[in-house]
Amino acid sequence: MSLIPETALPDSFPPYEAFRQHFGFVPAIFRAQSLLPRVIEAEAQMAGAVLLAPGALTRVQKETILLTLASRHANAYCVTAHRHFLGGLGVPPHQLDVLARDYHDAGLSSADVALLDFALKLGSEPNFIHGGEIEALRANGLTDEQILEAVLMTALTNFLCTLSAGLDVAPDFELSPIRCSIQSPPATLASPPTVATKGPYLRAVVRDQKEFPPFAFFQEKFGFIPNIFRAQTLRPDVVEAEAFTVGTVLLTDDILSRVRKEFILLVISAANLNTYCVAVHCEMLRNLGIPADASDQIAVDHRSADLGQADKALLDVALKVARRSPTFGQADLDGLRTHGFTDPQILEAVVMASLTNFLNTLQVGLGTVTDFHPRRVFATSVNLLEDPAHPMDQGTGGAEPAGDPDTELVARAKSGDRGAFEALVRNHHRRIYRTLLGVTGNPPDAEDATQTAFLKAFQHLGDFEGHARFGTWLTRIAINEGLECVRTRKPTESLSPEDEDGGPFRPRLVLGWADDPERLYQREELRAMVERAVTSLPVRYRMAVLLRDLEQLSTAEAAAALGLGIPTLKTHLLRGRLMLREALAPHFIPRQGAVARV
Amino acid sequence: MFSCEDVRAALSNYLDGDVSPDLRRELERHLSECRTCQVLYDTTRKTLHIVTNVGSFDIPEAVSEQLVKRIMSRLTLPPSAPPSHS
Repeated sequence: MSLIPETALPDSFPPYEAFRQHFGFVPAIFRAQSLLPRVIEAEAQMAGAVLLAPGALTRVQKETILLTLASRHANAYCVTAHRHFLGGLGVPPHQLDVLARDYHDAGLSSADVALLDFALKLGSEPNFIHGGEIEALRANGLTDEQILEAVLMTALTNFLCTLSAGLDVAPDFELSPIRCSIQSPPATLASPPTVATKGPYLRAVVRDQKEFPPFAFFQEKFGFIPNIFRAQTLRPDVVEAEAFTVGTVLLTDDILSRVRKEFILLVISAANLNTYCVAVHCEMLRNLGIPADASDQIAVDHRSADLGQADKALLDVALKVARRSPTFGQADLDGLRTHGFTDPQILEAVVMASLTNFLNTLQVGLGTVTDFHPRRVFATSVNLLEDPAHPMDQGTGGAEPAGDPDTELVARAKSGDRGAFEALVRNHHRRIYRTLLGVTGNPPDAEDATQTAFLKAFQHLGDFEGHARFGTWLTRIAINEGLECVRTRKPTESLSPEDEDGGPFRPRLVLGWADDPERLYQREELRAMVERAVTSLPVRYRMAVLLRDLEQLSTAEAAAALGLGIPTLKTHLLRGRLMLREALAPHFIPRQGAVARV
Repeated sequence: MFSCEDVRAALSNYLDGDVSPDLRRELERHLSECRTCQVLYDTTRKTLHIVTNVGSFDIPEAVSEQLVKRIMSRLTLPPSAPPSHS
């Protein structure tokens, strides 16, 4: 059972026959998509090429990537299915439990552990992947063919986890109580890399479109061959399956229009901070007659774009699916139905959200460079993360002031001076903690996130080239960490824009305050009042207020730390400040009618 | 003519001193004539003053030192050490 009705397909439906042959049954995730048989055909080809076809990794290695990452995502459907498959491949039940909980305790070879560390990081924290990780895998004896397959398996896992959560498919097997105990992919606490390796990371074979049909297909359909496919030619059969999937899922126009599907790709890629995919799909939309400015606006904030309510609702739900939001459910699909969307259209939107996560994960793992000059840079990697002075909003300025007080300490820390790193920790931890407490709203989470942020900063210090201030770079890492913490926390709060009203904020309590409002309360009372008011703001406005008004960062610094353009930061700040005023107003309006209502 | 809506849209930038001289003149003319916008401006200014000065979200001193120690102790672990559990 799932959120979308099923229809019976004949036993002779070729993908079902293939599933029965390989798995012994037709998994529910595929039956849940029976309204779109062509999509099941594409997925069968992808699963065949990436998971089942013999390659450089063994099937057990691939299934282990799937199991551990699905366990990290707390995806019951995929965990139970792939426990079952690994069991069938001879892995004993006890070992399956250990793998799902924490594979570091499973007695695996160092190469296997390195591969899983990499897959978990790519699958759950892609913004921290950089070329140094690929070098480390090679140093562990892994070949480019093996690394490519690990990247593909990670992308496939994200596809399957997004899809099964988006369709809310009931597991094929009994649930296991084992939970992943890895909170964050392990940081390699060796010296940070000193040189950032630029992508593409892996060796590829040059193919001519004349002799390689998938390339001829891309050339014909897109007018170019995207680098993401050029980077996978060590596995031509996979590129072939991907071309079939693109043709079947994205390029068809009969259920959702091609433009709507491109919008989904664009919005989710932007939310995933994937500049590569945003640039490609802006270009594709341009070819479909959508002006670059319009695509740009949709990527940045589809709610304020010139789109109909139905399109905005569709993109809201697609984003929620892609983020595997714990609050996603039947009500979201019912909302789409009231906008006139049919079940096959809703199904296709869920598949598109999953496909976008697949492509985004794949691109980060391959490190492919953009095919087009991106109009706007969404920080996709540590290399960009350390360079927030990149022209995110061209023409609006935004470079940070010169002169970073931490320059010398950073240089010493990079050369291995532990004392220098400790000085950086001491200089910044109060500030980072304060910001993270504001983001997460609870002290234990703020402490954990502060610790992780510093460990990640240490790990990636080699990538920090000083284009931004160290403090800004660190804040950016910390905020990602805080958001991840809030996102993975059980649904006390949603980060999704659907909870936030996109229209202009209208102040309601416009009555004068006491002349010296701070005197009305004890400092501690006042402090608790402000903390409650700040943490009640929607997270995006809260972050703008935290950085500008509590941390006193400049507008440019705050925008850089949040990966936003300056105009967007200012919009968030205005709204956050007005909401904060509204929340505090009842405490400061004199009770005795001393001020006239206006 | 400058509307109340225009004032609201520019309020945050005005408080930050981030408006052009022309816009500032328009804003101030409107504020001198419109009591509602005056109140909104004044109370938002007071909000920022309170938020900035009250010491919200500060880390207690004991926790601060512990946290620095925790971070630095993690840096000394060998690369194969298990990840943080909570």
